[in-house]
Amino acid sequence: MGIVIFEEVCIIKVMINVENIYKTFKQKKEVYHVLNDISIDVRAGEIVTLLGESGCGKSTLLHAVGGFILPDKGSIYINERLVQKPQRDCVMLFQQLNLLPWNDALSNVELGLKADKKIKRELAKQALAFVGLNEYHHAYPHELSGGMQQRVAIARAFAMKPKVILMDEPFAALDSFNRYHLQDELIRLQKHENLSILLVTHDIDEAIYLSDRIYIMSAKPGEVFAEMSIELAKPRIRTHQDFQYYRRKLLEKFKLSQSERKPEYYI
Amino acid sequence: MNIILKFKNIWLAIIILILLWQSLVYIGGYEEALLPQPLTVLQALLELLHSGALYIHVQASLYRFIVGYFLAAIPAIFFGVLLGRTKRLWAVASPIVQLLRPISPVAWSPFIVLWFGIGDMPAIIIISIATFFPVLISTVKGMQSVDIHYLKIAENFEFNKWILFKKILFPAALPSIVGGLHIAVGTAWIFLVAGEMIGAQSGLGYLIVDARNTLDLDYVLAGIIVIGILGFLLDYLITLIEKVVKKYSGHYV
Repeated sequence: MGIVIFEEVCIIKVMINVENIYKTFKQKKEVYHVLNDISIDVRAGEIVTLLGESGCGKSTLLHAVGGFILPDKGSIYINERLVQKPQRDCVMLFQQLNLLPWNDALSNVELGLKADKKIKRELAKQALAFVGLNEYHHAYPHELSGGMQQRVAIARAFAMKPKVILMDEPFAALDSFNRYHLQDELIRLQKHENLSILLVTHDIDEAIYLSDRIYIMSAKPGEVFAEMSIELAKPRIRTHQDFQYYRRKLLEKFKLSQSERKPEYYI
Repeated sequence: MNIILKFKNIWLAIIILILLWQSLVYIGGYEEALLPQPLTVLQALLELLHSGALYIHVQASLYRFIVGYFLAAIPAIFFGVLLGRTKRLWAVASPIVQLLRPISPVAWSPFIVLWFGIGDMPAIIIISIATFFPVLISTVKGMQSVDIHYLKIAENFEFNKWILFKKILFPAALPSIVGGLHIAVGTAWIFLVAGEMIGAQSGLGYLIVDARNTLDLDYVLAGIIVIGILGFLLDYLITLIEKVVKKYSGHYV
C-alpha cells in the first residue's frame, strides 16, 4: 500500500486508497448491500471517475471516502491517513448548494480558508480571478448562474489546497455548453495544482473526457465491475475516433454489467 | 403629491370604510350613544390630540409593547436555538410547549395580578406570553430545517461549534426567526388592549375601558382607530425588516 512503481522511473504516491469496504443499509427488514467488497485507488495527480447508473452506490462510496459515512468493514486512507471523519485535506463538491446563499462570492471562498482576514481576502480574490469571476466579488449565489456558482465552489476547493477533491456529479445540473466549459476549466486547474480528483458521474462522455481511469460500478450489490484506463492526451476531442472507441468500449462493458441480472420484464 | 399617489389604494380603502360606516349610521338610524358617526369620532380624536392625553396613552402602550416584546423575543430566540439543535431536548420540551401555546395569555391574568401587581407589569407580561411562543417555534423550525448540504460543508471544513452557529446555523435560520418575530408583532399587539384592561391606569386599552365606563363611545372608537393604525404601522415596519433580512439571506423577494 502507499506507493506504486510506475514505468520504473517516477514513483507516484497513492492519494486515496480504499481497501475492501462494505456498507449495508437496512430498510423495513430488507438489507441492501450498497457497497460490497470495494477496493479502489487514486494516485497523485490523477482524475478517477466512478461511473454507473443511479443506485449503484457510487455516491455512497464517494461519501465514505469523504468521511461523511463510515464503512461497516474495510478501511479508507487519504494520503496514508485513515479516514474517520470529513477533513479539510479532502474537499467535497456537490451537484448544487455548495455556496451559502447569505454570503457573496468572496465570503463564500473565504469560508474555506484559514488565515488572517487580509490574507484570506487576497487569496479569495486570486481564486476568483483564476476561474474568471473577477467582476463578481460581491455577487450573491442567486445572482449567479448555475455554472458560475459551481465555478466559485471549484475556486474555493482549489484555494483550500487540499490533497484531494471529491466531486459528486458536479456538472449534472448544468446545460451542455456550461458543462463543457467547466470540464475544461477543471482540467486546467487540476493540471496547474497537480491535484487528485475522484469524481462521480453517470455521464459517459464526461467520464471519458476527464478521467485518467474509470471504475465502472454495478448495482445490487454495489460493486466495482470493471476498471478502464483512458490513454488519450488531454485536452481530448469529443468527436475524435479514439474518443468514440472508448465510448463503444464503455457501453459494451455496461451491457455486460447488466446481462448478469435477470430482466425484470419481457417484452 | 407623490405620497398621495403611492398610497392611493390605501386612501381609497379608508374612504370606502368611512362611507360604509356613515351609511350604516344613516340607514340604521342609530343614536350617537350606540354608534357614533365618523365626524363625532374625528372630533373626539382631535380633542384627545389637543389635550395631550392621546400622546400619553400611546407612549404608555408602546413602552409596554416594546418592553414585553423584547423581554420575550430574546429568550425565545435563545431557547429556540438550543432546542432546535438538540433533538432529545426538543422531544421533551415540545409537548410542554404545545400544551402551553394554545392558552390565551389573558387566561393567566389572575396569577399575573397576584404575582406582579397592577400598573405596567400585567400588560407587559401578557404581551410577553403572546410574543414568546411564535418566536420560539419558528426559531426551532428554522434551526431544524438547515439544509444538509450546508452542514456537510461545515463538517468538511472542520468548523468548531461557534463558527458553525455563526456562519451557518444562525444565518440559515434567520428568515424563519424573523418570520416568527413578524407573527409575534401581530399577536402581541392584539393582546395589548386585553393586558391594559387589567389594572392599568394609562395606555390605549385603559383609554377604551375608561371611556366605556363614562359611556363616551366616540372616545372608545377613537381609541380603537388609533390601535388599528399603530398596529398597521408596526406591521409595516417589521415587513420592511423582514424584506431586508430575506434579501441578505439570499432569498428572492
